[in-house]
Order: sequence, then C-alpha cells, then structure tokens
Amino acid sequence: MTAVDQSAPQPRAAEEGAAPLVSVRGVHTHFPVRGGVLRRTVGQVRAVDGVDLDIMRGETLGLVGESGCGKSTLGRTILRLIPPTSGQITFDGTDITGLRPERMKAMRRHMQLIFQDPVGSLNPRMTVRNIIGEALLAHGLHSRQERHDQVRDIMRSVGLDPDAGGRYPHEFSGGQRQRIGIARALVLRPGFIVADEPVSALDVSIQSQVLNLLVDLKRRFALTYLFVAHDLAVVDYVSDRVAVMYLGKVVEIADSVSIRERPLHPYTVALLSAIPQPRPGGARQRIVLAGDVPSPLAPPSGCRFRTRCPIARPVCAELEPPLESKAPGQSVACHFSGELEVAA
Amino acid sequence: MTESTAPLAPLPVAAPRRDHLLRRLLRHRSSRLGLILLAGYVAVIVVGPLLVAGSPTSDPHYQNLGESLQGPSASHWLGTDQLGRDELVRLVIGARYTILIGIGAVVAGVLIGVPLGALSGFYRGWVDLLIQRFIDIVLAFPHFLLALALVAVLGPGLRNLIIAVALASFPRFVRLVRASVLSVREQPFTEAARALGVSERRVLWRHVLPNSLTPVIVQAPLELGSAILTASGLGFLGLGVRQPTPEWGTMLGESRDLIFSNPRLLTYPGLCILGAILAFNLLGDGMRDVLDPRLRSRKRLPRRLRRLSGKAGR
Amino acid sequence: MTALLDVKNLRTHFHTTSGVYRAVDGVDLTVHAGRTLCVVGESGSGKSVTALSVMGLIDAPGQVQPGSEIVFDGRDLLRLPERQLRSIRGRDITMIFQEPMTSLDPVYTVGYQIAEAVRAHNDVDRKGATERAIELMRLVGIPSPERRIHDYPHQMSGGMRQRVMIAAALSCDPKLLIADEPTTALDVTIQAQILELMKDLRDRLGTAILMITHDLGVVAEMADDVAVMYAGKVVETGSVTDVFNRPQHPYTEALLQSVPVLGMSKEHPLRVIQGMVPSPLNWPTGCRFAPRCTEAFDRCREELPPLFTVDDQRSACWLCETGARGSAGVEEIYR
Repeated sequence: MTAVDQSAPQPRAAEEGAAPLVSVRGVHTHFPVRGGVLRRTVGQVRAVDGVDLDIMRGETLGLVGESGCGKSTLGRTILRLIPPTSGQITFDGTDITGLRPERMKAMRRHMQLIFQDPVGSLNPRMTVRNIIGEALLAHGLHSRQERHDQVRDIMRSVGLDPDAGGRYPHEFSGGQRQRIGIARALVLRPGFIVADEPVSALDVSIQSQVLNLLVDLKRRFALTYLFVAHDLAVVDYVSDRVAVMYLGKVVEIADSVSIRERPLHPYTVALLSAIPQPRPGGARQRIVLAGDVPSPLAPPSGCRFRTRCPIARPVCAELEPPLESKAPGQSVACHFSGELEVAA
Repeated sequence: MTESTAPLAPLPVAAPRRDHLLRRLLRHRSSRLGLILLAGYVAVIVVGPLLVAGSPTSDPHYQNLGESLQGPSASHWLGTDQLGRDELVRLVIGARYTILIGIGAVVAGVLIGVPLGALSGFYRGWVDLLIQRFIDIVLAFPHFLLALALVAVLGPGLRNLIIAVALASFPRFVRLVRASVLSVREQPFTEAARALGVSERRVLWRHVLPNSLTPVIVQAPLELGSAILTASGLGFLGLGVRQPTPEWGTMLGESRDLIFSNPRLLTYPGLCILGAILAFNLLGDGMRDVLDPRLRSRKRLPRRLRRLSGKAGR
Repeated sequence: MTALLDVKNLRTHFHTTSGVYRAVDGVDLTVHAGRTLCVVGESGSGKSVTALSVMGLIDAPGQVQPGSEIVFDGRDLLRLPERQLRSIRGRDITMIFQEPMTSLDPVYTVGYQIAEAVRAHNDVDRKGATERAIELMRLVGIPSPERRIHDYPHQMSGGMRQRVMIAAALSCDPKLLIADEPTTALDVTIQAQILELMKDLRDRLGTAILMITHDLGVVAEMADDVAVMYAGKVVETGSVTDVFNRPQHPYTEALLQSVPVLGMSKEHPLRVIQGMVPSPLNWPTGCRFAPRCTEAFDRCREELPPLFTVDDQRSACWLCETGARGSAGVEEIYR
C-alpha cells in the first residue's frame, strides 16, 4: 500500500446541508429460518442488522464486504425488492417503506437494479428488444413507435448494435449481455441505480469495458449509484465514497481516498491488506485474519468483528461500538479505531 | 473474481445450436425412429380411408356373416373378423380413434394441469396448499381405476373416454409445472421484471411460465403413450368407444373369446397399439435428450472433473 | 535449475457435435523443481484444460493429440502405461480444484477422505492413515484436527474445505502440486489465509506448484515464473518480475492495464481490450490476438508468431522478432 497521504481531498459528494437522494435509517432485514416437521421459525438470519446510510445525489457510493455480509440484501432492501423487517427508507423525500403497490410501481421508474449474473437475469425466451422495452410497456409509456425508438436509443448508448434488437440473449457474449441488462435498467431514465456486483461474473478484459461504460453513463445520465461489490479495488475505482459492511452492519464509511489511505476500522485495514496486488516483489505487511466469518444466525455479542479482530479487548465483547464520526466525512464503528496499522 | 459464478467457464461449452427442433429430433436416433413410425400412423389416418374406399367391404361396419373368420386372402389381406368385416379396413379406420383419444386426452390434461401447476408454484401459500391436497387425493387412486370409475359414471363414448383419461393424467402435469415454476420464479430475470415495475400477473405469464414448459413438452409424448394404453384398456373392457366403431382397444375386447381359435384378431390390433405407444415413447426420449441438456448423455463435453487428487488415479 | 515438468507442444482437442474444440492448441511450459509457475489467462484461454491434461484427467470427447509431450521427471507421461501413470498421479503430482465443496464427497467425513488419499499411495493401516490425516490437517492449519476429522464437508466453511483439499493433496509428499484457481471461490480474507498457507508449505516442503489463475494479484504474490495464455496458446512466459515490469506481448501489457488496482489514478479510464476472446471452434488465422491488438500489422493477421526469446523472456509476438520492444509495465499504473 502506498504511503499515507495527509493531503487527501475532502469528500466530494457528502457536502453538509444537501439533502440525500436515498436515506436509510435503522434498517433491519431478517429472514426466518424454518425447521422441523411443523416448519416453525427456529431462528432469524440477520442479513441486514441495523444500517444507517445516506446516498447523496450524483455520487457513487461503494458498498463492499465479503459474501454473506448482507450487502446485496441491503441493496435490494433499498429498492424494496425485499421488504425490510424494520427501519425506514426515504427516496427523494418520500418514505417508501410503507408505500402502497401502485405508488411503489410508479416509484420504480426512478430506481433500478443491475444484476451480477448476465445469463440468469435475462429471460431467455424474449428478444433483446422486448427485454429492454418491457419496462416502458409495463409503465404504459409512449406509443409503440416511440418505444421502439427509445429502445434503439438506449442500445446505442450502452454500445450495442440497435439492429440486433430482434436477437435472443444467448446469441450475445457475457459482456454484451451485461450491456443489455444495463440498457434495461436505464431505459426508464431512472436517477438511482443499484449495481449488484455488475462485473464480478465477467472476464478481466471485459470487466474494464463495463466499468468504463458505467462511469461514462453516470456522467451522461446524471446517475446516482449504489455500487455493491466484494472487490475493493473495483469499488475504489468507481466510488466517491465507500461503505464497508461486516455481518449485517456498516463498520466504516468514508470517501474512497480515506478508506484507501487511512482506514480506521481494523476490518477495513485487514481487507485492504488481503487484496493481492499485481506488483511482484512489493513486499508488504499483511494482516491475515484468523478464522471465518461467524454465522449471521447468531452474531457475536458486542462488536461483531471481535472474534477475528487482532486488537480486540474485553470491552469489545460487552459493548457494541456505534458508528460515529472519527474524522471529517469518516465514520467508524470501533472502540479502538485507528489503532491497527499496516506498515507500508 | 471472474469465474466464481461460472465455475464451468474455463472448460469448453459448446454454443447452443439454434436449429429447428424437428431437425434436432431427426438427428437423434430414437426420436427419428419414433417420428418415422408416427409419420406412418399419420399417413394411415389421412390416406388410409381413401385407399380402402370403393367396395362395400371397405365400410368398417359392413357385415357379412358368411365370410366370417376368414384367413388372409387377396380380397381381405388380413382376413375377416367374427362378423365378416375386413380386418385391415377396421384397423386403418380405427387408427384415427386411438390417436385422437390419446392426443385429446393429453391436450386436455395439459390445459387443466399447466395453469393449476403454474398458479400453485407461483403464488404458493394457501393456493398451493389447496391445489396440492386436491392433487394428492386424485393421485391416491390408481391411474387406471380412476379412469375406469369415471367412464362408469359418465358412460362410454369417445368424448367421455377422453375426459376420463385426461382427468387421470393431469395431476402429473400439475406437479411437473409446479416444480418447474418453483425454480424459475427464483431466477434473477423474474426479479429484474419486478424491479422494473412489471405486475405479478405479467411476471407469471410472460416470464415464469414460458420458461417452465420444457418439462411439459418432454413429458407430453410419454403421456400420450400412456393415455393410449389406458384408453385401449378401457376399450378392451367394453368401456371405450361404442361398438361397432373400430377402435383398437375395443377390437381387442371383441375378439377376446377367439384368442385361441383366431389369435390373429388380437395380434393385429395389439401390434398397432404397441407400435403407437413405442412411437410416442421413442419421440419422448429423443425430446428429453434434445430439450433437456442436463440429461443428455452422449457427445457432450465433460463436466469439470471433481475428484480428490489422491483418488484421481483409481 | 532442473525442469521438473516440461510440457511441449501440448494440444488437447474436444470433438463435439458442433465441431473440433481446440481448447489447448500448442502449449509449451516448464515448471522447475521447487518453483512456482502461474498460468494466467481469461476463461476460454485453455489454462484449466492444460492442467487437466498434465493430470491425465481428460475424458472423451477430449483427446490429447499425438505429438504432444508431457515430460515429468524425465518420463513422458503420455507414453507411460496406465499402471505407472497411476502411481505418479496422486503421489508425485497432485491437484486441488476451485470448488472445494464439490471436490469432496458429501457422505464421508473429511478425516476418512484424507486417510483414504494417504492409503491410496502409502502402505499404512487404517490407524496409521488416520494419524497421518490428523498430522496433515494440523499442517494446513485446521484447528483441533482430532475433533474435526469427524466433520462432514458441509459442516466446514469454504476456506476450511480448501485446507482439507490441500491436506489430502499433500498426503504423499508430492513433487508437483497443481492448483486450479484454488482461491477463486473464496472471500478475500480467506484467500489471504490460503495463499499464505501455500507459500508456507512450498517453502517448508519444497513442492513445485503449477497454479492456474486469472487474478494478476495472485500471480504477483505467488509466482516465481509466469506463463500468460491466450486462445489456447502461451503468448508470453518468463520470470514474474520481468513479465510484469516489461511485458513483451501486447496482450500481457493490455491485461495488466485493464485491471483496477487500489490507488490507481482515477484520471485515466481503465484500458479496454476491444472485442472478445475468439471461439476455440474457430481460432483466427495468424496471431490469435491480432483482431483485438492495437499494434497489429499485416503479418500478424497472416502468420502465427512462434515464441521468440527476448533476454530471459519469451514472447509470441512479431514485434519481438528482432529483440525487446518498449512497453509499459505494472509500475506505470501506480504512477
């Protein structure tokens, strides 16, 4: 890792006073686990377990964490594709948590999802034109001819040949299929996009095409992204701010430079040091976390990270650290934030 | 990173060929045989009546007791039955009834079974509970006995026979479609449709159902075979098409008493039924191989080898 | 430096209904004793099929073509009778796979499966094999192995299962360990554990490693030598510092620049390699990278370049015919 840069720029998007586009308050999403002959609920998977988050208009917020940390569930909860168990989600000033179906449907025009799986997320029996145009049809927008033009427009925008609209998804390569998924999400001209691991199923040489496209589209369509991924290097590349999740909770949130240069939560530090860098011989200290992520069925008491934390102390088992501001624009949930450091 | 979601990616996977289903079926050995047999039956149904037309003996109902139970001859290629009717003419005319009953029953079974299965799997909850318990009750009766009881209640006849066979076979379609819908509804593209604001009903009919029908298409020819068998069985017991309509099962039943003196009168319709069932089963096998790649066995690239290295040599 | 494994002109083709799938089409590789060679490439480059071919695990319709050579420890594996091959495979060469769940049999305990691997190639009784299994599990860092030998695979996490796989692979002190994307299915923090473990074992046991991966970070971390594969061929090979710092093949250069790395300058968009990987059913004529290459000229589209020796590296690019070409290495990204 490069040396700590003290003159890192301040967060760009999280300016004081501006109202966030999306605001998440105390959101929990639990899934019941049923067992036994009577299918009784025997436990709760606490996928998202108390998250507060603001997404500013025009920013890209990266959401990073390992598998099972609840990042995808959080993304879907924000879009209300999964109902939250408790908490409140405000989109553009409207509380969408209890919105009635018809109002929610109207709201969906403004928020969209891009999927990880470019194969499974496209209906194999529909032509690309119908896949992309379906949203327009569902919302009763435009005449047939206008819909057709809109679809051609958006296909061009994402780098697809508009004349290929009559073909089926399997005739396209992985990267092109991901573009179809992006076109489908954008055809309604939403302001907010949740991108759920949009490049992790793609090959290295295709990844960069799609990442550059997403960055480019953000500028052209004035989008706000919640970019969910497990790869911190990818998240770092596209995001203005980054939130790190562990076992259903946000443990650290800050602008991407601060996350990269001066991480304060020991988990963030370890996560950063675990990423293999394509730099041969660049010897650096690595913090190898012991053990595995505990089950979200029964998270540890106090701080959830304490079972793997190299600097855990007795208080960590008793008291859950709140997410609080430790530096300008940087919030951390740790009793001893900043104490774990990695030599460069 | 790249391959975590596509573990098979590094191994070659042949691109799916998109040629016509019929052409693929013709390439497959067993479905080709099935299709040839079926083409024969269809030819008999369409052209047969024209060929045997002309003389009064070509009427399947024409009786001539004086010529009863004759062996094969130039005027009666397969001989005559106990009422002096030409056996070949009756077999040719009978083909349409047998095939019609089979197709009618399966179409009816699909029309009842697919919507029920789709609703059951898609909405789950109490809808599912209700439909599934009903299906459980229907399936608790043996297939054939149920058809038998239904014909006994409705009375014999072509239409009632179709209804009876269909009612006995639709539960299998319900189960099939339900299982398929349950897995397809979890596919990301259904979530994508919901995220776009597409209504639940449209998600079901436009996204889930079309992707759930492959097993039905595979199962249908196999069900056809079984429906023909059930219909013939009912005909044999005298509960099928009313005499003197020359349905093969009924013909078998009529000649029951002559099994030792004139075994050919049972052999011919028996062979016809056997051939029809065989044709549909062969077609069904081929369809399964062609449409359901998971079950395809030959000429396919291997799955990634998963063996403990220590055991790999054994 | 002695070559432990020398693969020459390996060609593995699959005869399918849609044509001949030339997955591996003329690969040369050398693994030196005690060193780690990483084979890096995108999906469809043939890197996994190369590993399976060395292991002798290619089943019909796949076939290693005549003319290929896989020389291990002085013997051509392709000419050995099946019996001798079996004694090499699993004892001198072992393999671990990407999916530790599916590689383990769900109905047996992990202890039993390791012990079985031990007994397959060593003359020990069941008790001795179990003791060896416990020892191996301790070696790969599984806590309280006496208790965990009774666990079934589904009771373990992904990282622990991969450790079990490694333990089984090490059961008879192999000379060569083939690892096919061993950490791809794992989370970053668990991947770090497994990579540390493999490095530690390599240093302690002196096992040579042939590692298949698509992750350039993993290559930089693990490899002594690297072979870059594209479209069924090795396009560049050399020591990892040489290849990463002055890539000679344009594909290697583009690949290095197309991956986001931490702390890279945001001002420059990622390098994009236009187009897509060609199909093994129908490789392009000439250099297979030519259709996507920014440097390509007429000769590239007509003639397939051989591996040219450039200093200590080898590169299959016509630009390297007369010597090293100037290129941007991985350090450029960090600038």
